[in-house]
Amino acid sequence: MNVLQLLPPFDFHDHVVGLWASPDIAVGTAWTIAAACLVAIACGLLGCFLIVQGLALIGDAISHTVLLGIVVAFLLTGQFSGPAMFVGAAVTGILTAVLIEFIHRHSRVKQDAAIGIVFSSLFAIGVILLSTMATHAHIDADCVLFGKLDTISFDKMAVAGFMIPVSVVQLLIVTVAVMFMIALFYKELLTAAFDPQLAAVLGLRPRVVQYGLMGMLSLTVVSSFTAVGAILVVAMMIAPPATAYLLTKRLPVMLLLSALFGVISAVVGTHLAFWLDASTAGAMVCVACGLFTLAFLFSPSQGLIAGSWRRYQLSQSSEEPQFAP
Amino acid sequence: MNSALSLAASLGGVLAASDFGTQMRRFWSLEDPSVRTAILGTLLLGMTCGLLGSFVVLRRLSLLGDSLGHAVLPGICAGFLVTMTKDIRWIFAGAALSAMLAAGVIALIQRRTQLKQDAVMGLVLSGFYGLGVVMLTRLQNTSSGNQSGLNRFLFGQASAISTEELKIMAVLAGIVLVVVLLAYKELAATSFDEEFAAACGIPARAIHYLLMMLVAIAIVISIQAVGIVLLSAMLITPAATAYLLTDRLKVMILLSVMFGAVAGVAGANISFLESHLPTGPFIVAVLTLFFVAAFFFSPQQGMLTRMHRRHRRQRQTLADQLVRWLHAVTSSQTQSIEQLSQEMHTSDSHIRKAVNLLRSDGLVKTDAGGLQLTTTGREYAEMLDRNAKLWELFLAQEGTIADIPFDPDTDDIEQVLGVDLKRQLEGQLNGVH
Repeated sequence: MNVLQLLPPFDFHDHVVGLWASPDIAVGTAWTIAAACLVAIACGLLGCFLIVQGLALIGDAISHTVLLGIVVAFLLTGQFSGPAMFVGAAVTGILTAVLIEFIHRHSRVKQDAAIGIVFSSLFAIGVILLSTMATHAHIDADCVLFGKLDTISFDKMAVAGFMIPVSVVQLLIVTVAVMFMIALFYKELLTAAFDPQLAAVLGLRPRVVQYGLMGMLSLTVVSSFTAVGAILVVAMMIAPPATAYLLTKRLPVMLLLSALFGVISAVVGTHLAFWLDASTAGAMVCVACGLFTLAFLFSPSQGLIAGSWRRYQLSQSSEEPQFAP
Repeated sequence: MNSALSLAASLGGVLAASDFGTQMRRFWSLEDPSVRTAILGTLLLGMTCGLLGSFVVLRRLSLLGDSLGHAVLPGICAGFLVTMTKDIRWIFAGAALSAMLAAGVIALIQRRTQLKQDAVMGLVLSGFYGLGVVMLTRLQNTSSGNQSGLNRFLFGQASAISTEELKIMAVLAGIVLVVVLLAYKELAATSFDEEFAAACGIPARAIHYLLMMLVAIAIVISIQAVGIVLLSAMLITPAATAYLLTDRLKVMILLSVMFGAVAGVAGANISFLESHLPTGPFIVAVLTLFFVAAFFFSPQQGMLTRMHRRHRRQRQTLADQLVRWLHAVTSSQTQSIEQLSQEMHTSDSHIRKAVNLLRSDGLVKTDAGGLQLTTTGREYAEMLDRNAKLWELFLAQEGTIADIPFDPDTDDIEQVLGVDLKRQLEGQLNGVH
């Protein structure tokens, strides 16, 4: 049967132990998992604030438009890495947020439509630049879309005597910066997330906080770009925080759970991809969404089963409706 | 710098290539069958998406297209798996099924959790897309079957549409059109006020699911030429552009269909010029141009038109104030610009513009000492004074502010209050005198 070709026979020894079989293979696996974990942690932490602020789709939009920033930076410097790329990405990310706000404020187009228009336009321009220059640039469209997590350890640099993949160094810096920013501006982010008006009254400038968040988001997206690709970044931004959201109402717990689910997705996803011989980023996302499904079914407070059980008990207990006198 | 130049060179190379003219002629002569299918295909998709987009945008469901668009990827792969060939019927069926499944999952999660709508859409979008990417890469790494063309579903290639695909697209577009015509009243009513429509006995939730299904079909029509990544623009941008140009739903739908059709054909034309150019991004770029033009220059809603109107109104108000003041203070004396600007607490340049306006209307004249009301100017000032008194009387007696159909564009009291009421008030005013 054709469909079965998609699922090769699973062999624990081949597909799990195989990834760690020899020291050479193990090092590659370790770097892949390290990079995936860093992406998942940075995206998951920022994603928590996106989810509670109702900005999930701005995250989606930015993960697309950053492509334009990268391409323009490449056109100006001729390099597909380095500080110019980060500056280009951060500028495009903030530009995206500003343009959405501008359209939304100066016309009767609602915010959801404004998001759609801005992200598709900027992304289209990015793709057009990319495709008209494809012969010069050698930017791989597959890399843009799916990422190249498996080949991450090919490009290494020396850090304090160790050979570390460039992407891992980049991701480490960005992830630490994200953690640092969240710790530093925790109070501002918390207030802006749950009560923007209170934040404004307290002088915490929710709009500045929001643009700061968008800037951090862009940096995270651009550093994750080569690892998991444009569209899958947003999955790691939404799925683990949404899972955590079903399990807790407290932001610190949500942040921790979200990072934890991200790491689980990275580790399990890498092995899954090896077994299926498919995209590692895609497999990571599948695991992250599998975790969400579990939470959706079994969460004690918001789960499908718990909810049905409560409804059933309610229907049992109130067979004879009681009216207040 | 060098690479910027090389970009210019390569863009120039694409557009000014020696075969540019030949390709344009080949495209517009319509002799080439593949050109004809490309044009018909992009027309169909542009019109279908424009038609449905109006309802989608009015319902604030804009990002539904994005979610369902990405959600077709696993369906495309599954459809491919059935026959291991690019049999378009199975691929379309798979795409439609997975888009509808995604719509169902969105509805289920939204009903049963406290997650916000956008988070649910993003989650379903990325979950389905992730699954699709795994299936696609798995297929690419499996040697059997010729799956190499599946990638083109990501960014679309109008010239790759086959005659058989075109037939299916036409049938689907026909179904969408018929359903919209049959359910037009219900779709329109629920788009503006869902609760009101439900109270009128329209099954609002069923209509919502119907629209989701129609969108899923529109997406299936579009994946060939636009690709799944940019699909949402086909639903949102033409409709949002039309929304800036009219207040009437039927006109909006017609405009939106037109924009979709024009952009579709233009995108097909551009991508035809050079073999490796994708169609979707160019269609979206043309749509964006339409939107930007409407955003700034729409006669009613345009940002620049509204700014211009506000400016003119401010100047007119200042001019009216000037006339009344000139009339009240001096009927005969002349006033200099400096005096006026001091009196009105406004800058000289503002006063000068207002004075120019008055002079072109023949209400003031300037002589050596400054300016002075003409006879018509005095009459106009008396009319303004009288209107102001009528307003005062009306507000004191009849109205609460909320009752007045206030229109900032008109100063004509008769137009606002009606002839009868004005005459009545005038009678009272004369009695008071």
